[in-house]
Amino acid sequence: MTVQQTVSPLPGQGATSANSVNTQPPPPQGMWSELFSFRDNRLGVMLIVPSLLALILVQFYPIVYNFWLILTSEKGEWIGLANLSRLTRDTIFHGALIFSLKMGIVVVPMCLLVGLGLALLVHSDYAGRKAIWISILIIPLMVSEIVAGMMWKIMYHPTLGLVNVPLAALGLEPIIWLVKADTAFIALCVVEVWRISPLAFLLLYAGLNQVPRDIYEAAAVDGATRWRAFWDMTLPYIRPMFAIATILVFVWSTRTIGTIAATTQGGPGRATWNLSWYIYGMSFQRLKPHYASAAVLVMLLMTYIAGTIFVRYLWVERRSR
Amino acid sequence: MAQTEARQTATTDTVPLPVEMAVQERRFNLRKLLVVVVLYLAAFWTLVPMYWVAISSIKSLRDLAHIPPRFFPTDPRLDAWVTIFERRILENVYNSLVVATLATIICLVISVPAAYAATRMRLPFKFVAIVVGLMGLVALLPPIASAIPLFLLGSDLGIIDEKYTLIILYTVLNTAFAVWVLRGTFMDVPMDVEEAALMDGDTRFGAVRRILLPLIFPSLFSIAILLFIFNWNEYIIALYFVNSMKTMTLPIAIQAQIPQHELDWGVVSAAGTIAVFPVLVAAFTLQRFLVRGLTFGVASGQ
Repeated sequence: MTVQQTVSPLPGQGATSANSVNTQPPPPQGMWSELFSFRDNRLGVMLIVPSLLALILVQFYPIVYNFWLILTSEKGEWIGLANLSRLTRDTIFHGALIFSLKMGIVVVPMCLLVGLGLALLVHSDYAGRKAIWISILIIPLMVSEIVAGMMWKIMYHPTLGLVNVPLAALGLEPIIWLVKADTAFIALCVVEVWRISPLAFLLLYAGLNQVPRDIYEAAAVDGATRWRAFWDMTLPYIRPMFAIATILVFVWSTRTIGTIAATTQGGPGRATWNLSWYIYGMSFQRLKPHYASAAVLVMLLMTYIAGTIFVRYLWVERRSR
Repeated sequence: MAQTEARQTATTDTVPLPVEMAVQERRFNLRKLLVVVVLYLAAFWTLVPMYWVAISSIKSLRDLAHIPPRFFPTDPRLDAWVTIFERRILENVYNSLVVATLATIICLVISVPAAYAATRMRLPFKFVAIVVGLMGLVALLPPIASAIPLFLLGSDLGIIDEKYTLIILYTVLNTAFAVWVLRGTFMDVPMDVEEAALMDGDTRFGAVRRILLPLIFPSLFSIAILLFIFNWNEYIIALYFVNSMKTMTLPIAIQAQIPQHELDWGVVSAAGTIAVFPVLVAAFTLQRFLVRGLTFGVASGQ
C-alpha cells in the first residue's frame, strides 16, 4: 500500500522537480511580498513540524538507536562490532537470510507475472465492469498478514483444507504441507503470491492506464502484431511501474512475519525462519535486542541494495531505445 | 474454422463481406469468453480462502471432520461463534476499533496541514523536497526495524501494554505515508479557485474550509479508510506492545486463537471472518481511488 509515495523519491524523471515547482504559487514581488512570504514561511513550517516530529520519533530515532544497540552488548557495554561478527558466524541467521532471499526470488517473478497477466486482462476491452473485478482482485492486499496466514493454514490442513482435494481427485496421496521443510517453503510462497500479487496487479493496471490509446491505432495501421505492440510499446510505457512493483513486492515478501507466525511458526525445526522472524525471535523471545539489531541492519541493507539494483536496471530507460 | 477464417481475410482486402464480419464477431466473442473465464478463475483464487474460513466457522464438528472436506456445510451450527464471543472477542474488536479510529483521525489532523503547507505555501523548496522525499523513502523501511528501539523506549517509559501507546505509535507510523498521499491529492486540485477566494478577502482558513476541503473530501475519505485498514491490520508493533487482554487487538487475538487442538478450527475461523469483514467493505470503496491515485501519481511524477 505504500505505493504512491515511493513513486517520486526514485530518481530519473526530469519532470518531477519541474512539476513540483509549478505547484508553488508564483512568487510575489516587491517589499510587501517579502514580508508576506516570510509570514507564509513561518506558518508553513509550523504546519509541517508535527509530522516532521512524528517522522523523527518513529523513523530516525530508531535508526540511530539501532546503531547504538548494535555496538553495545545486552548489558549496555561497548563491544564494537562484536555483534556483527557474531552474526556472520550464526548459522540460524544464515538460514533465515537465505530463506528470505529464496522467497524473494520465487515470489517476485510469480507476483509480477500474475499481476501483469491480470492487469492486461482487466485492462482489455473484454472485461466488463472493471470496477468489480478490481475490487475483488485487490482484497488480499487489505487482509492482515496474520489473517491471511490463518486462512491458508486452514486451506493446507490435511483434513479440513481444500488444497489436498484436487490431489485426492487425481489419486495422489494427501500432502501434509506445513510439516516438511520443502513443502512448507512452497506453501508459504503460495501464500505470499496470494497476498502480494494484487499489489503488482494494481500498480501495473495503473501503469497500463497511462499508455495512450492512439499509439495502438497507429501501430495497427502500420501492421504491427498484438505481440509486437505489447513488447515494443506497452512494456516500455509501464517500465517505471514495473520497477516500483518489483521493489515493493520484494520488500513485502522478504519482510513478512504474520504469515509465518500463523502457519509454521518457523518450523519444522528452523526451516522457515526468515529475517523478520529471526529478528522477532531474537529480540522478543530470547531477549537479545542488541544482537537482533545487527540483523535489522542487514535487513535494511538488503532493502537498500535491492532497491538500488531495481532502480538501476528497471526504472532507468535503456539507452538503445 | 481457423483455416476458413484465414482464407476469407486473405481473399477480401477492400470491403468486408457480411460473412467475414460475422466470423470476426465470433472470434471476438471467443476471446472475450477466454478473458472472462480467466478472470473468474482469478476471482475464485482470490476469494476461496475467505469463503473457506467463513464456512469453516459454521460447520458442525461432523462436517469439519468429514473427508473429503465439504464445500457446503450440511448442518450449519453457530457453536464456534458462541465460543468466540464467550472468549470475549468483542473486547478485541473494541480495542481494534478504538485504536484504529483514533490513530486514523489524529494522523489526518497532523498530516493534512503538512500536505497543505507542502503544496500550497511558499516554503523554501529544498526544505519541502527534503522533508517530503524522506517521508517517501521511509515507507520502504520495514516496521520491524523500528519495533525494537521503540519497544525499548516504551519499556523505559513504562508505557508498554497501554492503548494510548498503540494509538500514538500507529499515528506516527502512518504519518509519512499519509502526507505523501495527501500531497498528491492536493496537487490534483487547481489552486485558481482558492486564490480567487483569497483575493476576495477570505482568510486562508476560510478558503481551505469552504473551497479546498469540499473538493478533496472524497479522496480524504478514501485515505481515512486506507489508514483505518492499516491500523486494523497492524501486527508487528502490536506483537511487541500488547501483553494483556486490556490492549489486545484483533490480529493478536487471532494469533492467540490459532488452535493447538484439532477441533478448535471453527473458533479461529469465526475470529478471522470478523477481521476480514471491514476489509471487504474497504476494497469496494477504495478501488477507484487507488487506481486513480496511482495513475495520476506517476503521470504527474510527483
